[in-house]
Amino acid sequence: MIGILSLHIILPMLGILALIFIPDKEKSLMKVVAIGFTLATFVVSVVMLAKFEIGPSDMQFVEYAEWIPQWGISYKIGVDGISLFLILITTLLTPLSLLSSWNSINEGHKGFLVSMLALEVGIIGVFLSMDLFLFYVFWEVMLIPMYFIIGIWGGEKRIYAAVKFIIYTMFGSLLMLVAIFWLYYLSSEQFGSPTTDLLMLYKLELPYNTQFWLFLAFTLSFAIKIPLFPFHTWLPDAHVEAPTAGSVILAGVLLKMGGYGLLRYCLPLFPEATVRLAPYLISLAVFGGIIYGALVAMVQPDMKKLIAYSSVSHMGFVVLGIFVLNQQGLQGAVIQMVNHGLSTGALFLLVGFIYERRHSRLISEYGGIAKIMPFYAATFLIVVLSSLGLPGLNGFVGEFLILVGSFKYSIFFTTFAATGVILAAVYLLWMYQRVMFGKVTNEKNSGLSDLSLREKWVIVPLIVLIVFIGIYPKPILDRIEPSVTNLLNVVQANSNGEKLKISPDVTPVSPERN
Amino acid sequence: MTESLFFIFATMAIVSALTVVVTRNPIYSAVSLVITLFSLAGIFLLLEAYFLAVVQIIIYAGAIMVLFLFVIMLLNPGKEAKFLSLTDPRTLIVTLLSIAFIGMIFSLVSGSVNYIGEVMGSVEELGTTRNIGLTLFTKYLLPFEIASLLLLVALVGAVLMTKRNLR
Amino acid sequence: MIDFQIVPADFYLLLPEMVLSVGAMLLLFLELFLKGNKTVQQWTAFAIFVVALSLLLSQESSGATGFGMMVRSDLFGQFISAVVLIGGGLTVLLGKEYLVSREWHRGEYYSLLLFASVGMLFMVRGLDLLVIFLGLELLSISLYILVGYFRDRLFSNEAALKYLLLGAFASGFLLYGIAYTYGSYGTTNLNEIRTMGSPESMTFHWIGLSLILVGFSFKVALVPFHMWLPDVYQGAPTPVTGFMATTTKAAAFAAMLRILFYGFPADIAEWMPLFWFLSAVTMTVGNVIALQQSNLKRMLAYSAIAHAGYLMIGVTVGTETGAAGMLFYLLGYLFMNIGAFAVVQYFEGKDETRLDFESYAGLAKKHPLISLAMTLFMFALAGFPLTVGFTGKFYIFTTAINQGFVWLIVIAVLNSLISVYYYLRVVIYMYMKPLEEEIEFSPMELPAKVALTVCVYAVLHLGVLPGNFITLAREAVSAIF
Repeated sequence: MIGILSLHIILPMLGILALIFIPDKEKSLMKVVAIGFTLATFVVSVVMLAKFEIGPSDMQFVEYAEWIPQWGISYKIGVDGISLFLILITTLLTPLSLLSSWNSINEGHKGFLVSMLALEVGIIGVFLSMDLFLFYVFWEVMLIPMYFIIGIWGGEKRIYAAVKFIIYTMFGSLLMLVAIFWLYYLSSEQFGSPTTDLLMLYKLELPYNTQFWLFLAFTLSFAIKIPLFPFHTWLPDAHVEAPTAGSVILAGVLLKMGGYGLLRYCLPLFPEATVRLAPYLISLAVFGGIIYGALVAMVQPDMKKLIAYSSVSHMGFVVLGIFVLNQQGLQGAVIQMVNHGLSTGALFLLVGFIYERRHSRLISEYGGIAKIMPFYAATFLIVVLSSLGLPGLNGFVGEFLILVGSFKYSIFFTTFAATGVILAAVYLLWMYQRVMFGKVTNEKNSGLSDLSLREKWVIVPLIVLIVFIGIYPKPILDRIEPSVTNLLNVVQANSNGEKLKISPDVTPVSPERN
Repeated sequence: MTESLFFIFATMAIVSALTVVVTRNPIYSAVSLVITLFSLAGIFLLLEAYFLAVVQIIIYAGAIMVLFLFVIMLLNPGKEAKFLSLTDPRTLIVTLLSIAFIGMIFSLVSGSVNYIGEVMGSVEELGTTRNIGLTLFTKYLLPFEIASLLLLVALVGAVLMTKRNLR
Repeated sequence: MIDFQIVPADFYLLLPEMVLSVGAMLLLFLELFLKGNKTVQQWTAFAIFVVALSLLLSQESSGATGFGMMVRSDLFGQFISAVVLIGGGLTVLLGKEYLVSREWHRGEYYSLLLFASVGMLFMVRGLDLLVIFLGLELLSISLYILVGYFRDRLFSNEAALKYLLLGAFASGFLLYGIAYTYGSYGTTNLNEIRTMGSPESMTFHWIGLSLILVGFSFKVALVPFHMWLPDVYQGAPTPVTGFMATTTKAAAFAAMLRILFYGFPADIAEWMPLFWFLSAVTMTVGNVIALQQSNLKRMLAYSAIAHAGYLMIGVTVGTETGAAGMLFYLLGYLFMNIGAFAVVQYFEGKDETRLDFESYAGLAKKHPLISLAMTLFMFALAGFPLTVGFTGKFYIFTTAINQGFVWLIVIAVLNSLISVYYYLRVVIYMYMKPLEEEIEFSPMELPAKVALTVCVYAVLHLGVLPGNFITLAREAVSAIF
């Protein structure tokens, strides 16, 4: 019996296999097959969600198989509160983005669909891995389909964007590889035989000096992915040049891999370094990420670039939430990742709709669209409001929790972070106003059709979730909480007496300073 | 006596070897090579490697170099344009490096000069035809056979590269 | 009298080499009598490689020596010899189509490949410095001829001449070194040297070993002895380039390993700083210059230099696992590289003008499978996971970190990043640029297809399930330590 988690990986691969055998001219059949397999994967993950136990904090549905025993490497996967919903947004956004691309890919359909499926496999693999080698394999493998998606089916400067994307990311991941080698060596020193099993590696005793360098290497790689200022410069190019489906997955899911990496690897493996270096990361997150990202977003004439920089800003919140190292902050960070995936994914889908009609992303080309495409304007409004964190919609939940957590840590940073919310309102609403309200300034826009049935099918599920999570986030938070608490305990217990600025929820251990 | 002979032969060898490389006329070059080979044969004699000395003269100087000279005379190439200019920086660098290399080896080796005598240890029988034959066909049989393969390949190569109508 | 026996067991030991030699001579005859029938020649040559390989693998690798301790049958020799023979077989498969399309197909091509392989087998399985030297010479001369195979092409001639002159020079150094070693130990046999331990004269020992290493560094193209490589690789017929880049490297490294680790084990620690420097410089020079190449063959040549640098890390580390990593990497490198050269061979056109990146524009549309294979090889050479490029590097790099060579690995890893850039350029042109001209390539013949498929399969298999081969490499190495 194949475990439910391996099914996540196998189903898209079966989809690729099926696609290979379909003749090139059967374009519709290909699209249907691809969407079918990705929907099936989504169904599987919903089943996984239903069976997920609330309460235990360790990994569930763990599957294990020997892979390279000579090196202590195994195929081990599992899911917990932190990765559960990230997998769900992956399996949800993939079929939706494929559906949205029904008409927008002009040639090489098979390659595109195969690449998207391969991308899904890579991303899910990263979220599921419990073995460091396996994680790295998926992390790197995921780069290749993304590279092709940007480079072949992208916009004008697609080759430049694709190369920048892959080289930039690989720079980080190669340095992380050196750190992985080092961990591997340490594992053989401390355990007798080398291993890459994550749970074993958590038990490593690492002196601060070692932690410092390893933390830096891992964090650099994740910071590039998130993206955290100043390693964000690949993102605008990649987003703008990628085709819609690519941008959706890139913003919706890929960026979360960085945040996930911090939570799964940096915090538990290098707790003391985490605690000691947290202030620097928080500063970067707040000033470089939240504020800088928002400010730059404000002056963008291109909608996609605007949303790209808004992602920098929103993910800055995530990093902030992680490094304040308390219950609210971490929970907020996790749910913010989920929510950002939904709302930014939706934003890119919406921009994609209008791009398909008019082939322009410039705000100046539009105006008064609300009169012409009311349904579109309505959904756009909901998503924009979610992105800026209006209470009642999902974006608010994450940002609120993070700000609460950050408030417990430092009022100084919180004040600045909160201005990020205000700035988000500014650039998002201003964009919305320029595009949707007012007179119809451009003649070409007057004949545009509102959303088709297919497009409605794409956007409505996301709207539903946005609203639902905004009103009733409890089921999600309930499932996230145990793993987060566990993580906090691990960090607190192993950070060698460094005091965390924690709330009374988490009991401190050994309060002496070193 | 042996020492002075060694120095005479050695000097001859070095000078003629340099001439091979430096001279512009290819026939001078080939003849200098013959002289080098003769000098080396002389050194072999001093080392009591009689067989080797004779074989060197007969085969190398006698057969191979004669063949070289035949081909050169048949092709009748003219004099080379001056190609080893003394003012060319490359010549200077190469000369300096070579002197450095030789000097290095010399200084390293001269420290162990006593040892050379020991290894030489006198086995008068060492260089005789009989001994060479015995060793060559028993202990060193395998290298001997590999060398023969080597000659075959060289033959194939020569034909492949130069035969006029190969189709 | 001399106490020496030649036993039938000795001949049994040398069966692979004998089969190869006899086969080579047989092909010379076939060329004479079967002038028109090229297919027969090709399949005969291939069959000979297969037979030799099976004979090799069926030998008991017990460490038995033969011919007066001149050759040794151990797992180490078997492993690399297998790599050589597989490489030879693949080159035979790829050669016929290439030569026929240029109307210069001769049986000597196969004979020379076989002779070169004989030389390599002796290099790898030889236990005496003289045997190793003669094997090296046999290999070199066969290669000089193969490189200059297209004798009416100036480019080819120049490459062959360069290789000959520089190779002869390097062989001179090697022989000089062997002479000094003999002066130091009184013997050229590695077995005896090993048991003797420290020699009478350390100076001679050092000079000898240094010169020997210089000779081998040339063959393997370590910086600064690499200058010959790009021109020679570019001028040689493409299948021969593939053969040279992989099997020669494997044999030369194997000989180096045997000499260093088996013959002079006490010295390894002393040499470490020098090897460190050699590998770091070689990697960097190879990768950086490759970036600037616009000719694909030349780019692959410089990448070969870079990979020699990665392999040197294994020598620098100086432990069993380091050497095992090298063996595993050499096996994987064989398939990655021959595969890449096979694709280059297919696309380069008769006059070999289609070697720049622009000629690869848009090829993915017309030749999806071959482009996919090329992409795989490029990613493998760059070191992406799921390919043997990654597992090989993982093996060597982790061993180095285990021994504390962190900075060397940082350099290596950054070099890998640089290499990603130029390996990906091919992929970019194939997939992301529009198809400019409509060039018709005659479809790939079956033998070449088989070779390509084997390479693809091997790269993936060794990348995803390397376990057995890792164990094999480890066992192989224990034979020489």
